[in-house]
Amino acid sequence: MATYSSYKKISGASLTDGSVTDAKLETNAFKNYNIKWIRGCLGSETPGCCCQWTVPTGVTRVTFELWGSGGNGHGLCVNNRCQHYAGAQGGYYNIKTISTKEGCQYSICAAGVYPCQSVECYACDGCVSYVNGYNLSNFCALGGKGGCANSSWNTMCFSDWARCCSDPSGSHWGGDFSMGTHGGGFSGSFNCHCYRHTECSSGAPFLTGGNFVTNELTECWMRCGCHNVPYGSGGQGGQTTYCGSNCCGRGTTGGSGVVKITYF
Amino acid sequence: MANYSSYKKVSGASLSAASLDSTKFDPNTRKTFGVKWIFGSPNSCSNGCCCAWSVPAGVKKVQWEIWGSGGSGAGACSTSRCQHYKGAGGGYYNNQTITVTPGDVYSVCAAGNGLCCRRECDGCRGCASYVNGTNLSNFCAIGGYEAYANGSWSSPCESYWDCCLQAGANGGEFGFGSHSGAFGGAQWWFAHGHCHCIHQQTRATSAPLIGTEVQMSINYCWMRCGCWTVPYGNGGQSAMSSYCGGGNCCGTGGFGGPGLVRITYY
Repeated sequence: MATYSSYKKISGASLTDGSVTDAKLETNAFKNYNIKWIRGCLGSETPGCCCQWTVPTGVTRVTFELWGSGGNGHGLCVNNRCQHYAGAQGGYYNIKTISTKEGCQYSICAAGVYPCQSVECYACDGCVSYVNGYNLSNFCALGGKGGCANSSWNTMCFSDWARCCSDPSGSHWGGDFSMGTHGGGFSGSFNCHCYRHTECSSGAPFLTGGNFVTNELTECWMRCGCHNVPYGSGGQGGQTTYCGSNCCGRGTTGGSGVVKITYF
Repeated sequence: MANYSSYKKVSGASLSAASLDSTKFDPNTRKTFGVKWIFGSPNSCSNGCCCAWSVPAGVKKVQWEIWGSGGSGAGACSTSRCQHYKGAGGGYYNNQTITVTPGDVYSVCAAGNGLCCRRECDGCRGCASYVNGTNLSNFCAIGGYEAYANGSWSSPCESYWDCCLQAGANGGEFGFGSHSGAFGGAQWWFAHGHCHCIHQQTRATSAPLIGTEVQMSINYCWMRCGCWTVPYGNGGQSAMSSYCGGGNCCGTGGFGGPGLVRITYY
């Protein structure tokens, strides 16, 4: 049976245009905007961060931005001929904006990093960051290509796309726009007892930028890739300017992945 | 003449302060946030992407972020003297936030990469990305500067501004570019004097806030073209030679990375 309360409802059409000011809004009304970051530790071995994220009350639009983890740095890779070294590639970027509903749950993983093939000539690729849930399909960002070393002086020394040249429309990775950057080019040296290696690992687009993870060597028996690197960046490689040594210098892991959630 | 509908209007003034929470509103009210990217093919010979963009219903504010395309790489430029090579510059960045009206149409162009692939000592400038429409005036982001090569070993090797724009230039609130690549340092093989250089290495720079990596290096090589496409906004790869006098060689530089436009709207 109709009550007085149901009779006294006011339709929006009855309101005078422009007469409802901000002062009439409840404190939290339309104050949903926020940014949340999902990321693991910056250590040399981290599982990253995987979690469930629930869409807060009132939120209807979300932008997910993903960065995969960087590739690991190569090892020293000594043999009877001098090596030259290519820096690891930074993680790939992907972005997607969707409509959502409050209470929806998303399964989110910011990629981790782990020591892998750290003394070998070819290091492991970085890991994938991803988000699964309502209005998303196969949405992820690839990890970067691992660094490498070889003794082929016919190898092209210019930087290239390393792992792949991703489709910017994101059709393979489920995003609105995705991109990566080149991996590091091969350092320049020749023959045995090489010297003056300069290699750079690349960063992740829209996050850590270009080429500021650098590893240089003039003359040295062994230099490990010692330092942790920023989120999404390729790891440092191990290097030597000599050949035939028994050293076992290691490369470091890349920087772990990141997920940024912007919601309204 | 007044009718019943006009008499029964309720003024917001009669509402209690802070009495309206978001459940009282239509689900689409003020839920207009979105991000749109405009971009062309990432390949060489890209025309970029030009289109008309209409402001969606309910949107009142738009932030435009645009990046010009990168400059293209130089040719190997082999002459009677060994060359050193300056990397191409990344495209410039510009940003503007404006008030808009739903239904307004904006003409948007994310730059192509200039269709320039040169054997000569200098590459080509990158192209400008731009947006035209209400509340914008001459809003653009210029392309990056071209790479080049020369045989002057007295040329300074530091990177520098090819064009230092003030932050409010080109119709934006805040825009800037990066240095173009510095001249690479070649190590001479002394028995050959200035000729027959080795250990060439240099970089093309990225566009601000994108941050990408492209490098070129050779040890001994008659000719290495700038073969690879490069990321959005980055300067292109140059061709290189560690020798001189290779008059029959024709190494060509690569294209710069195409431009980008990011539209964030509320």
